[in-house]
Amino acid sequence: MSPAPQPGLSLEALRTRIRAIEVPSPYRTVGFGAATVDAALPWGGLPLGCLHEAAGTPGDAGAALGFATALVTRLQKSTAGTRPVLWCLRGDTEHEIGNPYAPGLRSFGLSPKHVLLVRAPATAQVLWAMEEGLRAGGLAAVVGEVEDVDFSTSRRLQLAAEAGGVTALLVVPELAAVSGAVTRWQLSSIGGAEARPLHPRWHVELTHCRGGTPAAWELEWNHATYDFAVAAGVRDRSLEPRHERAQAAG
Amino acid sequence: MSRGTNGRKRRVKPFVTSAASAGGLRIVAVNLHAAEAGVLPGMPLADARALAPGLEVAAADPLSDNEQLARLAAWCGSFSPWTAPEAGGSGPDGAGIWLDASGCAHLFGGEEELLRELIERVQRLGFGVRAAIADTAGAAWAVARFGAAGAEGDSRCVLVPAGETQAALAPLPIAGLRLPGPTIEGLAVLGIRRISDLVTMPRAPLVARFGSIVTERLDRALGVVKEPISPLVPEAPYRERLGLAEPIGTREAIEAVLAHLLTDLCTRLDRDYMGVRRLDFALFRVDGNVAHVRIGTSRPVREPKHLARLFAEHLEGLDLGEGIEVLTLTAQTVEALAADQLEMPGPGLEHALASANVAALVDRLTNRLGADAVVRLTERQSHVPEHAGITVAAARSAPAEPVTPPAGRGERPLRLFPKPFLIEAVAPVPDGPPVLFRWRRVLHRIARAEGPERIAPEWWRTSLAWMTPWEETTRDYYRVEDESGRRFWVYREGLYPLATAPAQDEEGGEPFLPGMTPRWFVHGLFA
Repeated sequence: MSPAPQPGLSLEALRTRIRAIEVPSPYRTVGFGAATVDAALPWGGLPLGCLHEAAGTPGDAGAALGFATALVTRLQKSTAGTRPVLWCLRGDTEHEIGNPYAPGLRSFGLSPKHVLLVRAPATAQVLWAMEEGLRAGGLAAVVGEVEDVDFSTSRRLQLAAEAGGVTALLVVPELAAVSGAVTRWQLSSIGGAEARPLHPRWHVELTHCRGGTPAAWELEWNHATYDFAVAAGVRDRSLEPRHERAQAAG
Repeated sequence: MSRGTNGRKRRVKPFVTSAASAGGLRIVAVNLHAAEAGVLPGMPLADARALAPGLEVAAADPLSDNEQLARLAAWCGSFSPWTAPEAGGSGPDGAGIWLDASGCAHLFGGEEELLRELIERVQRLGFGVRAAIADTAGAAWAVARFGAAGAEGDSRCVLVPAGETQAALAPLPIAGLRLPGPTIEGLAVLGIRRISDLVTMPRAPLVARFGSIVTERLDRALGVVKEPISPLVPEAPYRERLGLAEPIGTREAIEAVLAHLLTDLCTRLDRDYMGVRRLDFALFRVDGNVAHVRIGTSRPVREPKHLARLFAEHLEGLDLGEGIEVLTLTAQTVEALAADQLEMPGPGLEHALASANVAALVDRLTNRLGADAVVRLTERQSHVPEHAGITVAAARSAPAEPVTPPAGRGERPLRLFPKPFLIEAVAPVPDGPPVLFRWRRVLHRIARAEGPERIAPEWWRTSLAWMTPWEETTRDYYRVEDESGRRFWVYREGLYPLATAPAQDEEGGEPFLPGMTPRWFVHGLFA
């Protein structure tokens, strides 16, 4: 029996009701350190114990990897620095995008000793290792770098993440049309500000968010405080979708 | 205690193997029926045919005999963790198998039961067998080969009770002391034919005539001198065994047996506050072959469920032949493991659980993907980028030394290529950063650059032969950002010649740079 639509109900109230149905239990969260990002997420921060997906643009693998590393650093710090991170990738990608590099992780604020790296021979084993890690529990996060993921695989990872209470992060070259992930992010590098050249800085677009609305920001990563911050010297473009800017520019 | 066995193929007709030797074909090995007809090893084949008219003959094949003996020795591993084949010809002093039966008898309910089961199983494989258990290796060897003729059939076993070694050895021929042929003949000339004759003899003349070998072998057989026959075996090895009345052939049945063995083993480990690091699960097939499944753990473990999951990966696709009749589980390496603290209340609980989970996870990943595939990232004190970050197998303990990055070190990229990529770069100033470069057929125009950070090879490593040439030159590293915001770590290899004006060549064309032209590489990616 479905309740009859009530004419007096506003769109916003309906959204709230749908959100309550879609989000079964309040997830524990970890904030981004940037208030505008946290406010845009229905949970008030990045929900834990579920799957997130991040994609770069072709030829720009660094942005998605950097965003994932930054998120993982925040997640790892939120466990009082006790829990390790499981990072799974295909071993033969080392000539394509390079090997994870301990001094580089330290530059980002993530202590290399908390990272457990799995270099699997094929994508199937990457996904297997991710699922094992998610179900085992006791980890700060599980990251997987894969070429593409179909809906049933991402759904499976989402269920494993919920079962083990571990946050999962998929780094893919391109976001798939459908996914079981709770939030999905599109990243691209942008040039550093004059004051802080060559600083990690990305255009971050939240393309899908269960129970939330898409949004976009320009964020930079502070590796000393482990915070994201809306990039200095750039006006807040969170209300301006990216394609409109592209049209304006081109 | 040790024991030798001696096996021959069972046939109903007289059967011998022969090999060519000086003076024609000679007998190498005989079966029981041939021996009853009077055929002996070493006899010319023609004589043997005269003694036993229906004689079957095959060419001797010592290589495959040795292989078969080694397989049988491995198969005997279901009785003792230490077995070794002893190659040799046929005849009483021929080939045999050593088993160290120390601490194994309780698994069978006693030494007699162990011997009986051994004989029964070896006979089922189609061998005649003679076996003995004694206090010393030498005595077991002698009794198995020359012991009182049991006379029923071609198989028999002798158990020499502890402390009765001398009495058991006394009536045996001196060949039972594992002496070389000439020594035996020399002793026979002196009228010494039985071991009892030797025991009472004064030793000095024996040593003077035959060297120390006779007295040495005698002392070893009697246990006066220890004979090192096996590597040190722990007093109570952690070993569980299950012999089955009916062979099993399904994975489910094997998993059930494994769970049973693991529970027993872990109960013993728990009692002794030990945990296992390496485990060997041996499946002894009905056809005499052995399959081994071995696992390792990253820390001492004694949880049956954890260990069972590690084995489960490997039981898939195991060749079970016609079935498995004996299964053993041996802890090859054990380490001390304190009593589980999981019952302890307090804030440490979650932490303890977490680390146990993570260790179990590392084991599962390592056992499936290999130790090279599951690694931790570590830093080392080195200026050379590719030496500063390395990986170590996660199953090994974490390196203890804390590493502080060298002072003044610039920012390092998130990803480092195992081998830098050569790029085409344009740098307007010889000592400056590039303004554009082409890599993977994409042109990158540089918007910002930072550097250089000069990294010279570590002087103490410069002349090592294993170094590739690109590790030996000075590099100037730049962090660069292209116009679309992508950030790279590039370097110029080698130094430009000093500012002395580049010599113009005769035609006054391109400036001529002596020495090598600098080359540019991309070495890593920043986020």
